[in-house]
Amino acid sequence: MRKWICIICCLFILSGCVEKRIIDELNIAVATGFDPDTSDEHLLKTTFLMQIFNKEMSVENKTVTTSGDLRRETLYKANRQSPSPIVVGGLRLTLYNIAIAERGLTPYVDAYQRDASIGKRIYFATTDSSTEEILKGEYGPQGNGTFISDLIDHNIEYGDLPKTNLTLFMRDFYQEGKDVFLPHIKKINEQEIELDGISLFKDHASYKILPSDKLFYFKLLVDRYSKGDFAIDLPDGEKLAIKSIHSSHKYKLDTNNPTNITIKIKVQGNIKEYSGNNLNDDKIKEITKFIDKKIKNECTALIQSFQEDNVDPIGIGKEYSTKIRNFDYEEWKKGYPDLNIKVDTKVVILDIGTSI
Amino acid sequence: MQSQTIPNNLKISPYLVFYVIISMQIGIGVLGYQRIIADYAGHDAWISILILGSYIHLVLWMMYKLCEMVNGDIITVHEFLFGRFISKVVSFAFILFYIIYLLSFILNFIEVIQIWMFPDINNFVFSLFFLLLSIYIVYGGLRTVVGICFFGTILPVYLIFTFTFTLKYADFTHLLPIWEHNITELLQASYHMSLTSVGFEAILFIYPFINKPEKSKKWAHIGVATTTIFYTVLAIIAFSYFSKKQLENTIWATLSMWQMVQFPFVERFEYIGVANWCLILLPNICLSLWVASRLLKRATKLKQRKGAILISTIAVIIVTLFEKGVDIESFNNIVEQMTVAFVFVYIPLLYCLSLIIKKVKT
Repeated sequence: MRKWICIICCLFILSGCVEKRIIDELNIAVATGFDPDTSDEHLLKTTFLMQIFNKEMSVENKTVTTSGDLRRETLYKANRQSPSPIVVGGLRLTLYNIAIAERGLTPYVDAYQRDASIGKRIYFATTDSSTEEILKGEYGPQGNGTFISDLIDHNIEYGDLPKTNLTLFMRDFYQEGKDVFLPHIKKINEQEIELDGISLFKDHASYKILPSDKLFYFKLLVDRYSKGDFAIDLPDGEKLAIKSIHSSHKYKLDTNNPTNITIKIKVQGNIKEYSGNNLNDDKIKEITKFIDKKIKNECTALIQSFQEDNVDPIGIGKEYSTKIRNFDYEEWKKGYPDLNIKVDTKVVILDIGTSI
Repeated sequence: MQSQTIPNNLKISPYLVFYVIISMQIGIGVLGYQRIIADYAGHDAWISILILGSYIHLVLWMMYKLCEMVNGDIITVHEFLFGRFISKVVSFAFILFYIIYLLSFILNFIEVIQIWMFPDINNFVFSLFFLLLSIYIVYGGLRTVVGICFFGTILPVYLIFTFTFTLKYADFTHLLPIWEHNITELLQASYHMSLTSVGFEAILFIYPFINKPEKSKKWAHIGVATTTIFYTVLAIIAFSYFSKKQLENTIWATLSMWQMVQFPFVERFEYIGVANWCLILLPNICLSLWVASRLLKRATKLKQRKGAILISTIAVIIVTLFEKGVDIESFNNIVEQMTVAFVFVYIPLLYCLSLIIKKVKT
């Protein structure tokens, strides 16, 4: 009896019953880009970027562009131009032309959420130029998809870009009381590309680009720094660079009058470079005070501009909903532009390096 | 009243009950219970798990009392209380219960595999192999089945650590303000949590096989407490990881959280997670099969081995004929109502009844 069971098992196992996918016989898309089709406004132009690994260890960028109505439909069509099936399991990046983002990203989210084969760590980004052009450039030996996603990756960890990826985008997308934002990428020429700021969204549609010089203050408000750099012009004409910035922020609601909210920002860092010559205690105190004021003013200005535009990328509405029972978001939203939001900063300079 | 005598060499040590309870409670429901309970009690739903957990302790205590009364399993209890005929009828009800229970595991798991890994996996082939393996284990007797329960608990334990990856993206302010939902909503969530939490009722059937059963009580309660804490922690992690409306759109929250896990050698962890889930399901299916075939043996004098084959054949046929997707939803609802009725309503009622009947008889 047992012998027979074994034989029958072997028969079935050896025959194989699910579809096999051999990695050498697939085209793995690493990045996609969405552009509006100029011929018909309902159609999308989708670019898939595949990496082809050559024998000489170099990576060749191959793009396929198709147009269609649905996101998936463009993938089927793209397969007609590809020698082997294109799969989206290895996707690392999706670029949106700003014209697409201005129409709203709602129709795009569904495909990324429903398809279990797409990872949740991929990056979304917007761009002014056509995404097809961007994906067709030649930026580095590692291939364009990896290049751009690494660019975003290290700017999140060391730079001024707040944490972002598909998971966080989805979370904020569905969150009441927080508007989404995405990194914005600019193409300089065929070989170069740069992070040009952040595109802010209002009701799931992009409406404004926040320039990169405001990013430091924006990140202080929405995220926290663990490692970061920052340079500032002092009023006496000297310049100062600060490194290893740590920051955190906290919200404090006035219990008597809930329209008053204070955001407390704490920043710590080390001075790395100073163009003046004598950095004594008094000078450090003066510098600290100046930076303190600068951050406070810039952050307050940012918040005021958000209130004027009635957008909430910082998530103040979400903060209210965690502090107030039976929170009515719609009601709160009407009063948002009139909220009295104060910024309270505390800057600490931990050390000044090896020279005075 | 006749109490069965089980030879000592077929009995299991009391501490093994701990593994039986945990491996039976943790099944397919863990992959997606967070959305279901959050539909009713939002971010407060973790409180519902604790409420249900304490009720389970009470029910477990009653189960032990019932079994202690006759020093036998639940069928002996019925025989003692209502006579032989009723006990036979109840046996068949339980056999049906366990077949449906077993089916719910296989069907839900096949659905998960189809959506997450292999869209074209065949219902028939998969269930055939899984049940062949289960029959083989059941042939070894209860001690082998309990051994599988032990390994089905210990080996997948490492999966717990993978959830620490999601902590980096967790936002615990999602849980505030605590206690925003009223008690009815919390209890509704508890009700829908029950299908995920059942399985501990297996104790009613393996009781005669436990060596020194009074010592196993402690382990059974520790087991139930462990799963309750595990479910609560996992729910809190999911609530902090997903925003409210996002969770409403996520069917398998646990699996979706794994999409965030990355190791240098594994790009996508959910595939390993789903594959590992086979090991977690195996004790569930084996013990269900064992209980069903054992009841069949007691009721009809059919040999347990033949009973196991008969039940598996029925299961394979039903799984093969099952229509995909839509049916599973309504099937799960039926299973949920059935388990709630049996475990959480019938057992306490039976316990109260037994107290009265015992008084009358003496």
